[in-house]
Amino acid sequence: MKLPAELHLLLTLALALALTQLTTCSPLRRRDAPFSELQGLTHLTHSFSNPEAISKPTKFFHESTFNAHYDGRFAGTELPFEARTWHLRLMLKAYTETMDRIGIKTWIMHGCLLGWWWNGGLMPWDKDVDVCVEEGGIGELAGWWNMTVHYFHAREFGLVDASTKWSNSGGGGAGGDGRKGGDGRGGRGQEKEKLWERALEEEVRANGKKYLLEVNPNYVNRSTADRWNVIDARWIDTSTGLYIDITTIHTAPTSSTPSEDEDEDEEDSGIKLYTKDQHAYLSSHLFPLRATNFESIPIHIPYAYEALLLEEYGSEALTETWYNGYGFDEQRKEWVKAPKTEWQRAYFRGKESKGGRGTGRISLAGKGGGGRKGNSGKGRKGSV
Amino acid sequence: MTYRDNPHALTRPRPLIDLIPDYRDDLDVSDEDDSFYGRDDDFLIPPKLQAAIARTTDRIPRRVKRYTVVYIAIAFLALLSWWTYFGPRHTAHRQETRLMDTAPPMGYGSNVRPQFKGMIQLRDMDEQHLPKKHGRLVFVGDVHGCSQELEHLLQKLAFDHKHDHLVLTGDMIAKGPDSAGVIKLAQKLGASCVRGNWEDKLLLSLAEAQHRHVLSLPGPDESPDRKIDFLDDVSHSHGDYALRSLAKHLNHGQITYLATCPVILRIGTLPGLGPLVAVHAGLVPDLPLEQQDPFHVMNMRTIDLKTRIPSSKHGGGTPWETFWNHRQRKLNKEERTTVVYGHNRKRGLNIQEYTYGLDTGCVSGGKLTALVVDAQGKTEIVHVKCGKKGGYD
Repeated sequence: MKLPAELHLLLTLALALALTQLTTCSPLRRRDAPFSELQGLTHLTHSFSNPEAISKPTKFFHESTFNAHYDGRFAGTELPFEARTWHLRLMLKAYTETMDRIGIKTWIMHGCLLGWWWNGGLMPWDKDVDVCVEEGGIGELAGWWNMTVHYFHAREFGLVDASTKWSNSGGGGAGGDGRKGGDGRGGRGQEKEKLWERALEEEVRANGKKYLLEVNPNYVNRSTADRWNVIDARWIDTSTGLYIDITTIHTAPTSSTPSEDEDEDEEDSGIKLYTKDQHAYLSSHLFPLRATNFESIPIHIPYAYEALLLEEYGSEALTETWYNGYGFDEQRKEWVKAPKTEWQRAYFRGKESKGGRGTGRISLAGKGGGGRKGNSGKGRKGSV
Repeated sequence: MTYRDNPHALTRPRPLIDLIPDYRDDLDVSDEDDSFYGRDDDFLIPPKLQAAIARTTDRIPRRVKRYTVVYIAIAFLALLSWWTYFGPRHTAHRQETRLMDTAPPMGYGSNVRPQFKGMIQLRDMDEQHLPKKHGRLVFVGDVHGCSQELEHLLQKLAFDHKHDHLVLTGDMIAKGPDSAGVIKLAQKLGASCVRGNWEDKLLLSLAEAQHRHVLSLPGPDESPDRKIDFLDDVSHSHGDYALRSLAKHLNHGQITYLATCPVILRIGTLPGLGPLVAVHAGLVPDLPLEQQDPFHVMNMRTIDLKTRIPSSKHGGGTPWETFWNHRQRKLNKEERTTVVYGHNRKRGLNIQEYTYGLDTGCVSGGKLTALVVDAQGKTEIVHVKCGKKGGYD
């Protein structure tokens, strides 16, 4: 076959082009819902999401460019901490109510559990809420509820009428059980606080709240090697970009644990469980769940709550009454901004000189990106 | 004739014997002398001191002196054992006592006490059950479904529910053959109870099932005899199969009975014993009963004295009852509280001044133990052997 030289040239060029196209073309990747498709749900005009397309190509959920605890598709800025706690509270209430309604077993974990243990509520430095579900639960969420938007009217948060709200603000719906709920704050700051809180409430009353439930399709991958997808789902507040991290409890592959010792305690037997963010648990420490209140929201917590906290954060987290600029007020039973008192300073000085720096508590601040909590090595028990 | 007189003597060499000097007269050693038997002078110890030593050692009988080596060996052994065993133990004990006496600057217990739905933290026993005249109070620990043994034990005590009162200190169900039978008997006798870790687990998993609408507990108008029935037979939960199959043997009335068991039962004040409290596992000293963490009350075995955090593990801390007894002794006589508990079958029967540990592992083939307290505050321990060899579980 004889072809003109020009045609030859053209053909080889085309072939080369096609080849380069093939090699450079990236495979189809899973990512959270793109910003363009969330128009109408988000109030932003452009996304603040951290792209991370090159650095972490397999990552599904992304955080905002300014803070790892906000979803950049819905948040343009950080909130002051009082407002953040206020929104987190509503978000958790909406979440637990929805999960109750659709019949999915869920419970709080990590920093949130520690907050519950101390004062039955969020601690002022909490930036997010961590919850867990079972494998069946995440399957149902993915199969039936992925990308659903849940609308909550102000009424459902108990924010209908300003006058009724403020008349009984003292009781705060805590049910008189002495645990945190409503606003226990008093004194001079109250008037000012009421103002910003009233403004927030006004907004919710006007627009309600919309929450987006987004499931990470990588939830089917149970391997902890999939380290950029440790969070299996997110419950996102579309007005602020705050979100709840939902992680799944998996059964460890070496599940058949023969009863090690007849005389050993029933508490320490049970199936080994783990989450993708490298926490390991015993089923006997988690189940059966206990029903309790958190910020006066009815929620569930794991069975052996204190054992889990000790394992994750160490004994300091349960005994030290000063942390990170906050002191625990024993009378009011809540964490307030306070300098160290004389004896607290002496205590920490003594501890430092002994060289026994506790590390567990550091993780409380939740600095790890991607919602990884705690020092992952510490919470591990047994090999997973 | 002497030797020298020998005419040939001059020509011969001198005999060797002549070379030996003759000091015979200079030597004044005689075995009749005292000094013959005396010690050699070693010139190192001044004679005065030597005399002093001699004076003292002479006073020690020879019979004793003969065993010097043995004494040295014993002393050495004593020293060795002190260094390696008793010394460390003594320091540990002193350390423990010091820790028990001084509260840590930042210790456990400043948090808000956890509150749970459907759990009664504290209740006072009805005063009418306190023993009067011939009445008795009978505490039985960890029955674990051994209803036959419980009946046998009550028979042995000649238990009469008209003036005697039975208190079950938790874990009356699970593991054993007939949990329903135990509750039935307890209900029949009007026994008081406290919530143990097994009651806790069972009630929690029932509440959870009810919350998730796979179980409906009866309203007030329904018969309490209805059996527990789950709507879904496939359990989603990890490891609660055993609990569910146990629950299926019980009826609603029995569940309601279990749900009324408080975590802490305040018995009241008895003459000679003072205030008496029944719990399943233990209590943290110096913390009011209302403030006690319910999980620990149902599960604790030891307390870490440095932080005062209780633990359900056997090792790693001081047994809570040691700490409890120590702290009670520091209180005024009338404030010292006595605790009756179970839960620790590894330790077995454990009676101390202010604590009565009653779990003797009936379900694993041990004994079932009752603590009997009469109106005068006299206590008595009564056992029965448990039926099956090697236990039920």
